[in-house]
Amino acid sequence: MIVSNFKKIIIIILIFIILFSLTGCYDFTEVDELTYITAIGVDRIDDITAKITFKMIVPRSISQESSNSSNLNKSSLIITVEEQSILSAINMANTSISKRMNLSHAKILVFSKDIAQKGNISKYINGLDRSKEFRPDAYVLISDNAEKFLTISNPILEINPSKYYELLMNSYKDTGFTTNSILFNFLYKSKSLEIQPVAILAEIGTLQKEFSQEDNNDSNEQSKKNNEEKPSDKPKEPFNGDLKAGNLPVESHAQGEIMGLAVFKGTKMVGKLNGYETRSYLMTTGQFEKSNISIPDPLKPNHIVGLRVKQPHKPKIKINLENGRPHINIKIMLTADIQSIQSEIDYEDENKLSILQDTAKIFFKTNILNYLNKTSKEFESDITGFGKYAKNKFITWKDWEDFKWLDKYKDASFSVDIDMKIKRTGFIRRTILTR
Amino acid sequence: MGRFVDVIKKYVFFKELPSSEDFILKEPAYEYSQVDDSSCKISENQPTPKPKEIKINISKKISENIDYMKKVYNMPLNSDIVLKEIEITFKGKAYKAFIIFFDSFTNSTFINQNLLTPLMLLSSIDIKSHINTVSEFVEKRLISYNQVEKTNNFPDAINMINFGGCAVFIDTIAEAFLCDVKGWEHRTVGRPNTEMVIRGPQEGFVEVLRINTALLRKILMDEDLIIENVYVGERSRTPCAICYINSLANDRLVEEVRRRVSSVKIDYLFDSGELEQLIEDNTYLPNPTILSSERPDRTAFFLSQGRVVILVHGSPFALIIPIVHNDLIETAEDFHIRFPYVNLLKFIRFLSLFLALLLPGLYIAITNYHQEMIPTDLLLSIEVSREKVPFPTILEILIMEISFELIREAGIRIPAPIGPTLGIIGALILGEAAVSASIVSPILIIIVAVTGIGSFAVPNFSLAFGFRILRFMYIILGAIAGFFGITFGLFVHGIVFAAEKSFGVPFIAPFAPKTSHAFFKNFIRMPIWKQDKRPDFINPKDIRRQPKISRLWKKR
Repeated sequence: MIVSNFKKIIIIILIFIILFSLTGCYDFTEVDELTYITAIGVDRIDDITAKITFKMIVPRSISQESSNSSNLNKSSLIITVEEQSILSAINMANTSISKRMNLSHAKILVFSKDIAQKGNISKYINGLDRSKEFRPDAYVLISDNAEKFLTISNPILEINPSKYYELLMNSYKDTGFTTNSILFNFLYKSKSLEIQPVAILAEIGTLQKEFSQEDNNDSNEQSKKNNEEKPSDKPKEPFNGDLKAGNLPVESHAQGEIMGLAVFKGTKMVGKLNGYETRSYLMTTGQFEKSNISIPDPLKPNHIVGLRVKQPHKPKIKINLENGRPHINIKIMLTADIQSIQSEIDYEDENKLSILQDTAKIFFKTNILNYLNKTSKEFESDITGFGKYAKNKFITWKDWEDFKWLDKYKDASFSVDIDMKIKRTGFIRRTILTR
Repeated sequence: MGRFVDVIKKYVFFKELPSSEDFILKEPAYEYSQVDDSSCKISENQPTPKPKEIKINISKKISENIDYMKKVYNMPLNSDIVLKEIEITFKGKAYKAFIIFFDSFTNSTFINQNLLTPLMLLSSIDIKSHINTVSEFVEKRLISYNQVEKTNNFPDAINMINFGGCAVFIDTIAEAFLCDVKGWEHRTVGRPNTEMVIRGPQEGFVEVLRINTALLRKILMDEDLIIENVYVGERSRTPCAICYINSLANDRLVEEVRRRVSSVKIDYLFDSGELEQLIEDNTYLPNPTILSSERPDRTAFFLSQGRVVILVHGSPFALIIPIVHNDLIETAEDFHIRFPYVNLLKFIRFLSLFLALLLPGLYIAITNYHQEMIPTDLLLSIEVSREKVPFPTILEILIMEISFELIREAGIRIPAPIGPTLGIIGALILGEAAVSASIVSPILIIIVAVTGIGSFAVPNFSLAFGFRILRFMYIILGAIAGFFGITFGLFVHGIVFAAEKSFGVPFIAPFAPKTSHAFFKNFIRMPIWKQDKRPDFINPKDIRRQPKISRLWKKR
């Protein structure tokens, strides 16, 4: 039984080639056999069918050769299909498209408000987490009309719609007006016992729209209500608009805009948060990175002080359960740099700085309390995830399940501590009045 | 058929290997404690060179000797052998004699001045001392040359003549005087062309054994440096030198090298590359397990670590034994320049190793199986660039890789004056035109180019060569099964690496049989004052290289 080394190697190689070529290769696809969907929109038709819109990238328009051409609209292709699920809609859409549609580069998933409010989102998401193609880090968005949002929101500063959506969705790191509502988080939170999901609000900006509050009666009432709740001596948002996508005081040719959050209870949408409330949401969940925030000048009315606020640590949360009623204490640490002082009061001075600091503390405390009360009393939905901290009050999992935290959240009472330090004043050490 | 079934059985059903290992390099202390073990016994006598034939003694009659010599050297046929008959006068009596040597293989000045002149002319001068025999007279008074041996048999004489010596035969004496008057033409010590450095000595080995040993001794200046002679080749009897530092090198290692080299049976030995293949542990591996170096300083450094070096006459490359994988990605310069620079270079070289091995395979795996891994922008530009290409990616890659190998092979063979033509062909026709003709996509050209550059950045020629071959394996694996195939390939590659041995030392030694601080002491270079120990895996007799504090001036 002497077989030469060479023969052994040949045999081994043969075995593996046979093994691999039988099992491997089956999902082999060349890059150019696929077309890549960058955005999916789902609109309600009736309880069974939905209008599903796919936005695909046209690769040739993005390559260098034709980037000079003026046909920017051609950078994407929109297909609308009426079907019962996204995956079957892809099948249907493929009948009119030569290349195979591939979900692996989908960046956003837009649902219409009707679907969300009926609690039907899970119907359409359901197949996606099973297939390996769909990326779990696609963003979930809520819009009045998903098809319209996909058709109209086109990139102007770049050519590639995929990059446009990616950068747009990441803007929350600088603005603090939306959050990281990726599909994975959405799915996890919608099934969790301790936290409820949110989704980004996306809308078509109305070009050259005058800033008015008349169109939105419901939100206007709400803001009025908020105003009544606020004690008048506390500092208010200098800007009292209804900061939600579609109503922004922004004039731009770039028509897609995102601002605020849709609040869910399970997979049912129960309300909306505006931009400022979203900022409080980020601060309480510890996702707040940095943002420019204007607070009213404590010493001179109708002026603002611009601060660049950062959150160096995650908030510290303590929960007490008294007779099944949770009391939540949250301590938030913030630092800030002074960016502008419209009134030219020298807040760099130590005494005045402490006044400013106190004002800022009260400002943030009010905002956060308003936000927390809104989620608890109005939406009855724990989107902040306090359940995670309440969980350790229970010994067994069964106790925790039986407690039904998500139902008890509406009875919660809150107290907020803000630890705020203004650390830097920028390049200016002392403000001197303009003469 | 039955044999195939047996082979498959052998690989499917694991059977433990017989425990008799070929050779394991053990620590010296361990060795001494087991004196009774017969395999550990160190033979004290060096192996004597085996004669080519049965030793025939030299006759007293000069005519017989002449006849024998003429027969051995095919005298009328062989044109470059010189046999000159002379006469020597001793105590008034003339003795016939002859000297025999190869023309222009020996130094004729020495022969004329130090052999012929005294033998032919000065022998007639009267002698004052009391020398009674011709033999003694010739040895002590006539031959005024420093390297003279006496022998009583022909094979010794013939070996000496074949190796640039000159033999003197005298009537009535059954002995021959052998003078080492080597004087052949050879290259002078010059720059080492294959291992150029910017900082460090600029001399390289040449084709002459004695010059090479002298270069080593010049650098080390250590009386413990032992240069043993071994002759390899049944016919050529090429002199080889086993060099080691007696007080450092592990005796077992030296014994093993001696055993392997002296037991090689081959007709002619031309180069150390052949000897390397004859003594290496496993000849089927893609990577070398013996390091060859053209630089005396690098060789001397390895000697100072306790390793063994083999020099072969006629080869400017020294064989360094044993080595580990880390030695293959080091260059001579690494020992001479400051340590932060070395670490950057080592990192770059390690990267180049990975690029040369895996890049085309990874490209094909990602583009064909894992499109979701590519950034969207890049994916789209790959898609556009591939749009007009008629072939699948695997064929594209193979076309480019094979044409790259063609250029590389042609580049070695092409005569220097028309060398630039090849560059034009390679760059313009294969790169530019292949893209405009939509035979390959431009991104692929980048992949192949980076791979090529990567394989040139690997310092060891043999290792780069092995990886060039394995690269094709990884391309096929990537095409068959994507990342899974590449992972499988790396797994098998790792197993093969881990099972390898170089003269009893595991090939990935400081990592696979792990020794302390393996990463910091071997992969990353530390400042020179921290390198206070010799490599552990060589098991030298003295592990400490320098005291723990070697910069004493720091201590006040």
